Amino acid sequence: MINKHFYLSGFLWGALAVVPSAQALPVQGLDFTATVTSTATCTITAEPASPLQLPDTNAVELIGNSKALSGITPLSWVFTGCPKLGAPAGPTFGVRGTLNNEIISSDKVWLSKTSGTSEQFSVVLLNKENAAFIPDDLYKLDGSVVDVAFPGLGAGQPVPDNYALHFWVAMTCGGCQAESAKAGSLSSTLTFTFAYK
Amino acid sequence: MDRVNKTLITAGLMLITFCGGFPASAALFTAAPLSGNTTCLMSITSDVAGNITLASLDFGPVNGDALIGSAWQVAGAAGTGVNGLRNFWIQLKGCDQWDSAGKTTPKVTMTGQLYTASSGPENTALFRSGGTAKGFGVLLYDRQSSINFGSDQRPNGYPIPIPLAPDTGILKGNYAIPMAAGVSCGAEAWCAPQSLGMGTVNAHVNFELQYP
Repeated sequence: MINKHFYLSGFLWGALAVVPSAQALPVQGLDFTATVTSTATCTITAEPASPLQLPDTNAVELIGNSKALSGITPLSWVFTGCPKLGAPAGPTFGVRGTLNNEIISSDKVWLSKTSGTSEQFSVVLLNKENAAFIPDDLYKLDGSVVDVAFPGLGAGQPVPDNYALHFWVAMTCGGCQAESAKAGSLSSTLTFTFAYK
Repeated sequence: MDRVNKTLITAGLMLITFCGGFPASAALFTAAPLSGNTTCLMSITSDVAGNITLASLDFGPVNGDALIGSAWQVAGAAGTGVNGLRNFWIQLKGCDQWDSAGKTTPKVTMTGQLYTASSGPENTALFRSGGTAKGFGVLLYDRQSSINFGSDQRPNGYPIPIPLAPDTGILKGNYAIPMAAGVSCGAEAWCAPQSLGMGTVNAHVNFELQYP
């Protein structure tokens, strides 16, 4: 019986040896990885240039309507010389400001004041010109606004020359305590961050 | 058990007949060496001596701007052309008794997944298996100097000659095949800015020792 086993093996090996195609021989694989980047850096310009001056406004009118916005002024960021290569996540922005510590209501997240002699008045950042004091029209300034896609630019799309991000800035007595409100000066610093990744 | 063996023996005879009907099994055993010490040890290394094995080759950051509008050019962090190349070697060691019946020199065939170009010429040479970057892949060359970018990139399935291998079809000893690779966007038609995007690039290429 042992001999028969060897005999069988011989025939099967012989059959493999006459297969006329190329024989499978040693194989080695190699993985290649790379990260494609861009050395181009956008030039970002504020229009109008900082500091942005808001018009004087009537404090009494704002105190009388806590949802009123006054002195709505456009602010744009214009981009030139950005990488011609698109980024996987596309361009994004974030914004934050110093919150107005005079405000105790939950509206504080929308309201910014860095300095000034006025009390209870704040600066707000809007996403449209004809805005109202409602969440849909306001940017939170507490640092939670990050990685917002540039309007009109999807993932992988480069930023064309002279692309502009548009915002509007206004004053308000939103969230204020009317009995404590006082006219005076008002300054706010808002910090925008831009990412391309 | 005897019945089983007889059945198997019959099957073996039928298979041989189907493959060409060799007159005797004894001749079949000499057609291809099947015992030990008849193969090469194959590896990919980052040094010509074959001491540093590579499982992966990371190009690191690649300046994609430099490739916009290019044609079959490669780039690294510092620039294009040879500055974008990374060298490696295919090592064949301990080769013995590789004997092809036709006395044909053995080759190493390279195969991998290719980048799918949305337009322009058919892609045969830009390897890419994944990643987040848009339009970029890896080109391979079977030389490390005097590379003519645009004509020396090797296509999928290319049989790489083994330098210094005798044309008798027998490999004896050790061989090191110099290779180079670079990140590229391939043909000019694929390198328009709107076709490219930053991100990661992955490619995988297999190298297989073959002889006819």
